[in-house]
Order: sequence, then C-alpha cells, then structure tokens
Amino acid sequence: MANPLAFWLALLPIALILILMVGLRWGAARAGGAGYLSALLIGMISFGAGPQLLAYTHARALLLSIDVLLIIWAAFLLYRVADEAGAIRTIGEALPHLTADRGMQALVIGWVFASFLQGVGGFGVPVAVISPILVGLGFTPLSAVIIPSIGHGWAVTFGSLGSSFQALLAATGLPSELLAGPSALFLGISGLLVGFLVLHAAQGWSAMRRLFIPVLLLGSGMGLAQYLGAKAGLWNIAGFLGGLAGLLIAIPLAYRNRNNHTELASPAPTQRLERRKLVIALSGYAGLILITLAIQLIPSLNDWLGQVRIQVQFPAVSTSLGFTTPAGAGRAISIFRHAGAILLYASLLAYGIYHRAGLYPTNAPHRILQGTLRRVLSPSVSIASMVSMAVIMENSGMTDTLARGLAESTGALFPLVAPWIGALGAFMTGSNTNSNVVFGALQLRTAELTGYSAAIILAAQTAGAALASVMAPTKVIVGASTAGMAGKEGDVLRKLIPYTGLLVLLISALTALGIWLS
Amino acid sequence: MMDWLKKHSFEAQALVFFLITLPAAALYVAARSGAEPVIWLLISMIAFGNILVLFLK
Repeated sequence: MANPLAFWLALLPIALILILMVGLRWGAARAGGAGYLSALLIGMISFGAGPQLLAYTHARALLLSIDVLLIIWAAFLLYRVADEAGAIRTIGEALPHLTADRGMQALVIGWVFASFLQGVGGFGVPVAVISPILVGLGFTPLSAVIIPSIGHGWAVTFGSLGSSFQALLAATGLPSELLAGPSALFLGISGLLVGFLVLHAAQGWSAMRRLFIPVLLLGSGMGLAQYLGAKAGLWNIAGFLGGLAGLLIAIPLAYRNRNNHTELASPAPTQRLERRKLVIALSGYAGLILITLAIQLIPSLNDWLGQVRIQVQFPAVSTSLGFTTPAGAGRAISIFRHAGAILLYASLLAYGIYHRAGLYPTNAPHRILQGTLRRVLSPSVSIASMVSMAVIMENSGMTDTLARGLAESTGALFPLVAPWIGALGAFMTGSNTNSNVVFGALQLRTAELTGYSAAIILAAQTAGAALASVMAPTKVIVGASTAGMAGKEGDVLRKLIPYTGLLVLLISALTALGIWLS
Repeated sequence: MMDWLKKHSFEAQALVFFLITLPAAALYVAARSGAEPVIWLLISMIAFGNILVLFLK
C-alpha cells in the first residue's frame, strides 16, 4: 500500500459509524453526524480540502440528498395515506383466508406480502405489519419475526419506490439503464433462495420439499416482474411490480392448496372476507401503477412534466495535495417528473379514493401529515449527514485512497468481497439506501481501478446491502417489539445471521460468475 | 439543555435538519463570489448541526 496512514485515516469516518452503530448502538442520525464531523476534519487537515472545495462539496451533497429524500418523504406519505384508511390492515387480513396450509401462509404472507409491502412502503414496515399477523396465525414469536425479515430483503433495493436504487444512481452518477439490469437479476435470483429459506424458517426441510414448485413459480414470477420493470425504466415501481406479480400468482396457488391441512395447520380465520373493502384497499396502489405507466409511456406527458429541472454547474475543485474533481453538472432533478413527485400524485389519488369510500376517521389529513413528518425527520437527518460525509470523502480524495488500498489488498478477490462491503454498510447504517450512499462511490472507484465491470460490482453492492439490511439493529428492534419479543433481539439476530450469510454468499458467487462471463 | 433536548426531540431534529441543509445551499453562492469568511461561517453552522445531533436520542 502506497500510503498506509492515509488509507487508515480515510477509513476512519466509516469505521467510526460502524463502531458507534454496532458497538455502542447509536442511531443512524447520531452516528451520521459523528461520521460527517470526522470526514470534515480529516478532509481539511490530512487531505488538504480548502474552503472553496468544501463549499461546492456541501452544495453538491445537498442536491444528492434532496434527490433521495424526495422519494423517502413521498413514499412514506403514500404508506400513511393507505394505513390511515385501514388499507394495509385489510390486505393483511384477507391473506389468511386463502389457505390453511401453514407453509403456504408463510410464503404468501411472510414472503409475497412482505415483498409487496416493501415495494410500496419499506422503512421496516413489512416486519412491523406482518409479525403480529403471523403470531395471530399461531407461529412462534421468533418465527413470526424471522419469516418476514428474510422474506422482504430481496425487494429492498427496488422497494420503497426505488429510494435505495436512486441513492446508488446519485452516489455513482451512473445511468439507471446501466445498473438496473444486473441489480434486478442478482436480487431476482436471490429471491428464489429467499422463498426456500422462508419455508425452512417456518416448517423446516419437509416444507421446502413439499412446496418446491410454488416457491419456483412465485420466485420466478416476482423476480421476472421486478427485472422487467427495472429494465423498462420503471425502477421506482419495480419492487412493487414484483410484489404485485407475487400476489397475483399466490392467490390461485394458495387456493389450490387451501385444504392441504398439515399437522401444524393454523385455525381458519374467523372473520368473513369483505371483497369490496379489499378492492378499494388495492385501488389506492393501482393508481400508482397507472400514473407511473402514463408518465413513462406517454412521451408528451413525460416531456411536459420534465420541463422544470434543477441542475447546477460545478467548477473543477482541487485539494492542496493535488487531487482534482473535474467540473461538471450536479445531479439533475426534474421537479414534476421525479419519482417523489409521482408518489405524491399517487398519494393524492389514493387519498381521494379512500376518502370517497368513507374510510377516513375525522382529522385524518392532520394525522397523516403529522405521522409522516415525525417518521421521516430522523432518516432525513441521517441521510443528509451521511451524503455530506460521502461527498466530502469523494471530493477530498479519501474515497480514492480507500479504493486504491482496497484494490491492492483484495486484488482478484475483489468481486467476492464487494457484496460483503455492501452488506456491512447496510448492517452498520441501518439501510440499503445509506449503504449505497456511503459505499457506492468507493465500489465504483475500486471497480475502475481493478478493471472489473462497474455495473456488476455495483449490483453486488446494492444486492448485498439489501439482503443484509434485514439484520440492521433498527429493523430487528422494530420486528421484535411488534411480535412481543422486546428484549430478545439477540435471539432474532442469531437466527438471522446464517440465513443472511447464505444469501450474501450467493451474491458473491453470482458476482464472480458475472465478472467471469463479462 | 439535555432535558430540553429530550423533551423537544422533534423540534431539535427539525432544527438540526435545517442547520445541515439550508447553509449548504448558501455555500454555493458564497463559493461563487469567493467570500471565504462567509464560507467558514456556513460550514460552522453545518458542523454545529452535526454536533447538536450527537446529543439527540
């Protein structure tokens, strides 16, 4: 390594976040603040970042933060609009009516419905919503947390209306056309393994053999729908399309297995299924598909909405040590065509539908807005801090130093290591989005230095991060608390480690295969 | 101060969010006009926001 001291100093902000979040159990916002401060000081003192460089760096980081935050704010607004109307509960209650087969219940609710919820909401919602449903169906509390935790991981990158993928695009500056295909392919293949692991967590090896065909059908259908959506440029709803395809396949499949009572079958649901209520609940999300498709497929509408763009030109900036960031335009944000704007239109439409159906209690708009604001504030702070930290590291040459050190030390093994870096980032920062922000540029630079395909390495980054994000302490705490396992988070984590490890190992193998074939 | 932060964590987080985002927009203008003291002032505000967040739970 050319300069070991510079490498370790460059590593310090990332290591600090890891120690604070994992070792001392700090939240992402606090750890992000500490990471930012350390990157600022090290950038100024050891890497020669001056005031001009830092000023433009912060402005660039602000644009990137807005790009990601618009989606997160609007995605959570849509979730709150549906949740306040009882739509999420209605969909969740309808699913146990489909089958009494416990293995199928685990698949349909813990995998397919969890993926659907990740597609429309995310932010720990799948585990929080599904764990209590599974406990109610007779699953043990530990299984009730483990099943949806494993079940939704493959849908994280293109879930939450694509916020994690948007973060990857923002952090690397690469186009979605280059990254969407490999990322969706890796996640789709891992989705199949996720289905089998969900069955293993629910009923062991026997259920894996018994429900082999349903897993193949569901996994292929969901993975293919997500892949086609991402490749077609609909990456902001690709996770949602995957979950929706899963629900459409699961309904006839579960109906076929409805009388397949195993010795562990759970009691039949006591409430009657209200079809009208279910259709209204789903129609709020149908609006999202219609709006997205209309904007993507009608060129005149697409052009009209894309007229107002925020884009800022940045001059070249150099550190006193000679590291230069070339001049160029910052990330362009089309205000009315942005994925966040599309989500806002869908939220307004869904609100209109649910309001007309009389699903809202009094004072609902206030509760929706207040709930959204309270929930998004902390992640907004952590994303703003971590994005600033990542851009300071990039523009001051710290990321370049890290990438060079990593390329030298891992060499030909780098493709195998790449998904584990993403996984580590997700575990330490609590989300796929944050991991992509912190490590996206580093992985890209290392791929460039080692000569490997950037698209495949970045697919490994986001896939590893998505699958490992289910182990993030914040998600585990939410899941454990909703299943009545508060204080036993260690048990949940211990059970999740082998499942998650197997999934990230699969991504390592796929990355090596992808590099070998490219 | 710690008690106030604990009682008003939402307001404090909102303050932190504005402290770490709004000066960043002004930094672009300051950098273009080469106003170095203003740049340091704005960066100090962002740094203060990030110090403040360390005290929030």
